[in-house]
Amino acid sequence: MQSVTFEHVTKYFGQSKAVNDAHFKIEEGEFFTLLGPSGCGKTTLLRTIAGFYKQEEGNLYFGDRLMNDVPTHNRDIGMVFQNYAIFPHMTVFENVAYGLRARKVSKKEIEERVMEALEMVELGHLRDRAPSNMSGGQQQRIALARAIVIRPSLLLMDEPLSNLDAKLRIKMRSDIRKLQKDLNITTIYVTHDQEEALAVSDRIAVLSEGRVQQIGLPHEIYSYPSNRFVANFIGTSNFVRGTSGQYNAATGSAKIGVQGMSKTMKLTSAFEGEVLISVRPENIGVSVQRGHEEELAGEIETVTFLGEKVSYGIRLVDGQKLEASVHSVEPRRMLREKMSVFVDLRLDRAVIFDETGKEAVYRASQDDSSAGLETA
Amino acid sequence: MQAKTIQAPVWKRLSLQVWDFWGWVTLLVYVFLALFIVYPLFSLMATSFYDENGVFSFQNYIDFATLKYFRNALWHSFAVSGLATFFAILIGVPMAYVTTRYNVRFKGLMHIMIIMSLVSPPFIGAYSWILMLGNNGFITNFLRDIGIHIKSIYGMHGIVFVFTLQLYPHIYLYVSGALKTIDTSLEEAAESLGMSAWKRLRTVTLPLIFPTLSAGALMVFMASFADFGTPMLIGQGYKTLPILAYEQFISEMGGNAAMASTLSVVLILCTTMILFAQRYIVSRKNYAMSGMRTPKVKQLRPLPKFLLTLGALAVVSVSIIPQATVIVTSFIKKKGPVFHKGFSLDSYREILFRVPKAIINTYTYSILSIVIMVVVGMLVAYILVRRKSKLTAAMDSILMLPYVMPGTVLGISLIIAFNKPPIVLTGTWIILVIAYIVRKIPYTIRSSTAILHQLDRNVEEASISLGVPPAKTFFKTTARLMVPGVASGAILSWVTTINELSSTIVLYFGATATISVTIYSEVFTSNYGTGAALASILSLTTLVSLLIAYFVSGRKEMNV
Repeated sequence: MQSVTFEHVTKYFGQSKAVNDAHFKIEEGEFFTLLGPSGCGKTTLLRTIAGFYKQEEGNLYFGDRLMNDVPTHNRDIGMVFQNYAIFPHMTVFENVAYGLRARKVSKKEIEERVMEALEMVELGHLRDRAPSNMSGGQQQRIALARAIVIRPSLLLMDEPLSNLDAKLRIKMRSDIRKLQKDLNITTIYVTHDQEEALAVSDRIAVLSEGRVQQIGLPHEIYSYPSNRFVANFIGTSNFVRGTSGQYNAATGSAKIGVQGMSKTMKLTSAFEGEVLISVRPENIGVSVQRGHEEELAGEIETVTFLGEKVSYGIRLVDGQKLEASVHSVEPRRMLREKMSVFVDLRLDRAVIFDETGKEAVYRASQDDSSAGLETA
Repeated sequence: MQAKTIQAPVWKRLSLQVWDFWGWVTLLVYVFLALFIVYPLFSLMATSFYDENGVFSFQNYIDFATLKYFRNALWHSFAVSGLATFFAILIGVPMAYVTTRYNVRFKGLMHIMIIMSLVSPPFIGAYSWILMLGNNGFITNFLRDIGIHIKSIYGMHGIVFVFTLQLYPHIYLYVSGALKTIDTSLEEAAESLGMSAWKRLRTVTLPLIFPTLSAGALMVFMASFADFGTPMLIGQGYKTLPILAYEQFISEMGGNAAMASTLSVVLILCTTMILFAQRYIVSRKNYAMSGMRTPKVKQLRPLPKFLLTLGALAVVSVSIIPQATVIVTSFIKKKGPVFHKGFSLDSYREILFRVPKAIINTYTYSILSIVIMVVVGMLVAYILVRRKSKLTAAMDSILMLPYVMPGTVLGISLIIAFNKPPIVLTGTWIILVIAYIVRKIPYTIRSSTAILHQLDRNVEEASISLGVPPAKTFFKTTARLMVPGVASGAILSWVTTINELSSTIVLYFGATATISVTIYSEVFTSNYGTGAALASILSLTTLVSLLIAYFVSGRKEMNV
């Protein structure tokens, strides 16, 4: 078990910064996920932790130990790769025993520990098989057993499930989560799949273009994205243009206006001007009759029935389009295309950004953000 | 915690990357390249600018440009190489087309025979054509007995003839590879547009395989331009540049190293120019093809099938005749150098008695060379593929140099560089091994890089992450997984090393003579029987090596 600290870590590829000023701490025993689209720098950051890359700037610590110049093979890590990276010329047993042999563990202990690890991933019965013809799921279990059998202080996983089919992915991710909690190994997990990240992680760091955009608990990241990128990347969000005016420094509140409607809200930072309001589809209320003043008029353009929910494409009077989803709708109460409706944005649950979308000026709840060090 | 805004200096950024195991390997490879490729090449160039008295001058180049003797050799070289390339295309392309597109029989047999005729040393081909068509050749004699007088093999036409039969396999191999992967829907599109079969071939198929064809043609041209044995044996008065360079260097009157160097530099300039010309043409005519639908083999009716099979077999048979002749000759009974009727093992007995050292030398030097080539080749391939940087790109370019250095030239440059302090290697077996490694390692490197590109990098990273240091990881995982791929190139390095003549002939001395130079001197002293016996040993070794490779690689396509 080990904590990992990044101190202003920057990694260059040529002129561009693949990782730009990463500055945060991963706690002991934590299941920490690096999440972002391809090319965001998440794998680069993971490989920097592994020592396959070396950062040009900043320091990397495992616990109190400075790791900058420690080569990979001395870092005491276990790593699981996207494409399994099983040694094709060895049996299942030999694959798992590989790291133990390098550590000069006694033969008897190797036998015990390998079998224990194989049992954990439910592959004990295949110990003498050649791995090349085994299924992707089985190969990834071997890789997992091979990484944990050495009892590393740190377990690194680089998109371990993305080559598996959807059903297996869901089973494997809960297995990995359970194994991690049982063994209590600090785990750093890279994925581009937000649902996977939300499901397995203790905390998530969202990355884009080399920068950490937000670090937080899964529900925080989802509910209170700190900028437009996060709001857009995690789940789906509607972005509605609006204005902020009449900021009152004493109360910290301003008038947020959308299409003639307005609502006075307490901002997190002083801001007047154009704003972007991010609203989750499931937070939008849709009704045929006007309920209260703050609702906006619009028309249903598309209706998509998705089983557990219905998704409506709505066009507001000023032409802006929204997506709203309503759960467990009775079929006869479903709205139809071309119907005029009233939309409640429920601004208090929304997140409001400045016009660039880089910074939030209002987030529903700030109190429970235990997000640690934040950059951006 | 304070932010550092200044980027760390280069040496610091590289510190972790460079001085690990691979850093040292890179350094050692560079030392080897500098010592045995770059330094000899510079010595060669430097020598070409000094006259006999050690004064700097352009006299050698002026001589070259003004004396007809030298200019003719240049012209001869271009003429025989150009003609050989032309005829090789004429034979190689139809052979490739017929064997890839039609269901002719004996394809496997023809394939291995064609490869056999390619890897046997050119001078063995030349030598056996002398046995058949020389002034006293058995076909010449036979025809003379029935009253037909034919021109003997000696002269320019003989060189072109031998080169063509020896080297068309390059064209065949390259083109049949391209024809197998061509996108056949392009041909079908042409057909649907109403093109006749012949026009289709000319306007679609041939332009599409042009880049590959030109690569094969380049191989033929380079090989015939650089070859020493064939023109030496059957050129007689017709001298090409490599021969002239050799004669200038090793002359009974002491030799003229400066002129030999000048000729060598001219040779290198020519080959380099041709290499770049081919690259330039291809770069303008390269088509990206996605061969999703590869061509079907056309089923022929019995008669055309029979005729095409016969035609192809005829070509292959003619090109394999030299090997057969040599083997038969080696068993002919003889008294002294004179042949008698009947068969015996006299020639073999004689070589075992007279030149056992040559046989031992060939195998010891070649085995030593191939071991070094495989180990170094794999390490170099690893650096080139997995440690890409400006430093390794430069290494790749230097490794291209042996392609443009004919064997004779390499031999001369090594002697000029290492016949004086600080390092004296001339007259040792070491210099032969070095020459073999420099000349033949590109095959091993090429196949090693090809297999490395296919291997998953994460496998070795997994090993390193499990606590095994990079160097040990290479030998425990990557190297083992590379072996099957490396073998295909290594076998080529091996067979061409045991058959090597053109640099050996410059570098050997009595005690380090190999089989190939012994054959050469036996033939020159008209000891045809012993020469044939030695050549048969080489052919047999080559054949066995190829067959082993063929079966070990799981009968996959053999690429040369």
